[in-house]
Amino acid sequence: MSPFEHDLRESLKRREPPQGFAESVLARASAMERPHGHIQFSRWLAVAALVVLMVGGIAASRVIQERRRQADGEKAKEQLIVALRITGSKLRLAHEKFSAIQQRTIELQSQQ
Amino acid sequence: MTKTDFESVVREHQGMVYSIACNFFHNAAIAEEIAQDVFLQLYERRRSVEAGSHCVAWLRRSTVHRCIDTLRRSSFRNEIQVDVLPEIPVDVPATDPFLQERLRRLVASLPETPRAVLVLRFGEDMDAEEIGRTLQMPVRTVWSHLQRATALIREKGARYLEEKEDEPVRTRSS
Amino acid sequence: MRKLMLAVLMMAATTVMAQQLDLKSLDKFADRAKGKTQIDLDEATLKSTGGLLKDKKADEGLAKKSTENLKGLFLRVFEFDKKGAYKLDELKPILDQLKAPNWTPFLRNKEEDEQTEIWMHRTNNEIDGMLLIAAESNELTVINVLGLTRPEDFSNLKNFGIPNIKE
Repeated sequence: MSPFEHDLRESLKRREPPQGFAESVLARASAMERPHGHIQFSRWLAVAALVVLMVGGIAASRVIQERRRQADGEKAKEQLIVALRITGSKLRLAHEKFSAIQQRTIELQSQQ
Repeated sequence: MTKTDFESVVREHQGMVYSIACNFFHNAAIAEEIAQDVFLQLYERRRSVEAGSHCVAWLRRSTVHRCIDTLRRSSFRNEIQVDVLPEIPVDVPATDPFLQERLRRLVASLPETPRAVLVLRFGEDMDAEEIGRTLQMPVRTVWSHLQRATALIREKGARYLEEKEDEPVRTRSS
Repeated sequence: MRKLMLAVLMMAATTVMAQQLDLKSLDKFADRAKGKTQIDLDEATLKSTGGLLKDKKADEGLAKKSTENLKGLFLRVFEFDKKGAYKLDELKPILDQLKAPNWTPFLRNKEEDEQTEIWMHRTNNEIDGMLLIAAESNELTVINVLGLTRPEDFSNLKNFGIPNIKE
């Protein structure tokens, strides 16, 4: 296997879905097992959704786009909080050094 | 397939289904959505799908087709054209996490069919015959897509490395 | 009048650019680092992300307060396996940019092989930007913050991440 193929395999190797994925699927599958009336209504909804999808697919792409926007928004929030935590931590470190310098200056001055 | 079998199938193959979708779109949210839909579709048809290798093939086929359909219907198409490229004998040096990310993005920017072929070949380790059955195309067409897409990714990946090489000493990252 | 407005706008644009440093010279550390964090939040991103933060959630509420006045936050952190993976001299391209007018050092502390610097950018005698460099033996952090016009902006940033004992 060439190094390039190795890199391609590494980049495409399997990864696990987020925690709770299986439980979410099983919960949704259970919810599909409803009494007759619910099944009828759910089926009607599914058919209606299929018609919308077949007509243009715009609804499907909008749902995916909205999900993508939400995911992007969550990622941006996470990045912001990480950035603020790091900035806060480094500023506090610098502040400690500054305070230590001030303290040493005061001590030196009082000795003179 | 019983309901108990279905639960085992979900737990055993969630990684495979999710990874195919994730590698296809390079987007975790979309991958999760598609993976859920595939399993729910399996649940609806569980009486006609047997557990075991039949189920694995079914899951792979459904996931890839769903990815291709979704891509065709949606607007996030920033594809690059797979033209006929000359042979580019470039050896890309050792593993680099930024290169891997770049490769994932490049794969996710290919047109849908070469993209599916690469994901199944390098992500799922399938041979050309298996890929041909999954995508319902002749083996020679699979090879053709594979050669062209691989050459394109190689060229663009190597160009990225050349741009990165501006320091005197490169150290190997683990 | 239109020419004056245009001149003011262009000056404002130039002012923002002066506070914002070019951090591309730090890219070279990425290959040597075992870990890298790069976060670039320009004004538009800070505004749109700020809109998504929920006041009622502790971290998010404080993040919203800390960033409401900021115009940019650009951060690079490199973690190295061992000491000596980089030299302080290699930060020269960043430090050279601080020779520009309006940048003044606020704190410069050097201990053994570690260096901490905070520089402030002033426009018309008002602080409107900051650069922090924390060069430790196996970690290098460079943070460029734009905005920061009020003392509480600075203390909000400094206090972010301190656990609330009552929680």
